[in-house]
Amino acid sequence: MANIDSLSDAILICILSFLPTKVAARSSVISKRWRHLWTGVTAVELELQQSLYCIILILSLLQTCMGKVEEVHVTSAYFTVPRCIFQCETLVNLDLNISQRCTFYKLTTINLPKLKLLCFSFRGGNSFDSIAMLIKSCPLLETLKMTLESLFFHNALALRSKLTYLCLVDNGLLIDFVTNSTELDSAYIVVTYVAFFSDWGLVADDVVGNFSKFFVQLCSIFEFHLESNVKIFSHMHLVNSLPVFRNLSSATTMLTRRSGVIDFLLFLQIAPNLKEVIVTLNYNESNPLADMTQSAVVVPELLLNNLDCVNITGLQGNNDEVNLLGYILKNATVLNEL
Amino acid sequence: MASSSSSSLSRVVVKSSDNNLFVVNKKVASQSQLLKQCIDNMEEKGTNDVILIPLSNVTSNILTLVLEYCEKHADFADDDNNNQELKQWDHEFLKKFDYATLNSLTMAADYMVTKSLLNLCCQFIADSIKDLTVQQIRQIFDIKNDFTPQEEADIKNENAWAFR
Repeated sequence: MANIDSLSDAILICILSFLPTKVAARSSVISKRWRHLWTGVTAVELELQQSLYCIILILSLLQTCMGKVEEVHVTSAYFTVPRCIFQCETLVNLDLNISQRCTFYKLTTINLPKLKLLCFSFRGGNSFDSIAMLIKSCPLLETLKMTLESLFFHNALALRSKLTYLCLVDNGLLIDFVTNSTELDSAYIVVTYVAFFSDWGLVADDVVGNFSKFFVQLCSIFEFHLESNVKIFSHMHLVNSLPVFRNLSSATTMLTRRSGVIDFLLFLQIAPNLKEVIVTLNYNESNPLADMTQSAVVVPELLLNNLDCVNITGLQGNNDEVNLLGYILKNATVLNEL
Repeated sequence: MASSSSSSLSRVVVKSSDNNLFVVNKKVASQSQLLKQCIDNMEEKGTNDVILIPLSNVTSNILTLVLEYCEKHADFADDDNNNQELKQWDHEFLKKFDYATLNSLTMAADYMVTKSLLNLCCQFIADSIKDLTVQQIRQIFDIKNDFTPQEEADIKNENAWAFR
């Protein structure tokens, strides 16, 4: 018989920190020694079902644990982030995995000096100011994952300079980022432009303009994933502002429209050191594409010199695809795998 | 470049609580912050002698295990590509032990300040008690329930959300 009680409080708290908070809290009835041990956990992991009840719960919970918590993970359909989370000086990881609606109170003060990972989804509402303030107020932030939907961005969102990983899923294409991040090395971008936003006085050109500005700022990254219905590179090509992604060695993309292929070829031209490309084709258009190889303007012959792995899935076996493959094969001189 | 400092130690000797001696090379020993601190202190003083570090809280059989872990992790220290392999090894390593050994190993990891081993043990224990009832936990770990039924009911009530 092994006696777990021979372990010190600190070790028991460490063990409890690895458990979902609900399970850890049950340990309070084991014995008197265990009565309050769980409130010392450094990681809070909650999977919530009933929303209203849970707000009260997490409020009291976090106030108990405050000053020690390094990680907060919440999985729930609805969640209102309690203010005390933004005052948690020890917090390193904040991961809010909210499937339906996540609300922030209006934030007045934020004190998250140690936060490195911030991950949240936001659907609806008008909490832009809170989000902008939150991102601005985390000096050590390295990883930022945001899913935004129907969120109106009034001003540019300023990213922190320590950021190394940015994941952005934006279903409104209203984003206007200012990144002064010099250390960004990986970006995962999914943006969908939704036409009805033009009713709000936003002209598509403005939006695409913002988007291109954002792209120019990303050009130091090493890894890139892009999914978008906006032909961003074609646009940038038109206004002669194509940036060069000098460091980029690995790129993945999902093309949902046939015209995206041209955009993608344009992109290949501005990534001279690309080594690996993964393309997923996912479209159901039947109109044949205008002569692709002509539209693709300059042949990026030299630029494809480093490419050694291309992976394309979702091929339907039509002429355009044969053209695309032919194009890649013709120009990629050191290609090893296709 | 050849090391110019004459005070650089390559090995230390660690003594277990039951007075067995283990010769440990510096890279392996450095996995333990406690040993590393001792080495650093000695190097600062510029001593050339082999140093002896007594660990009054760790028995030989547990120390053997800690050192086995440190050796493996020192091998992988410069190589993050084999992370998956190392994780697999960690899991196989702990799987062999009963709770008593695991407890002692956890305490030794804590005492020797080998953070990764401590976390590994805690994670392993957490995983193994995750699906147990309170009663089962008391039984397995021989913990006496010192609450009255009323007290126990009160606590359950207070943390009602956890017991649904």
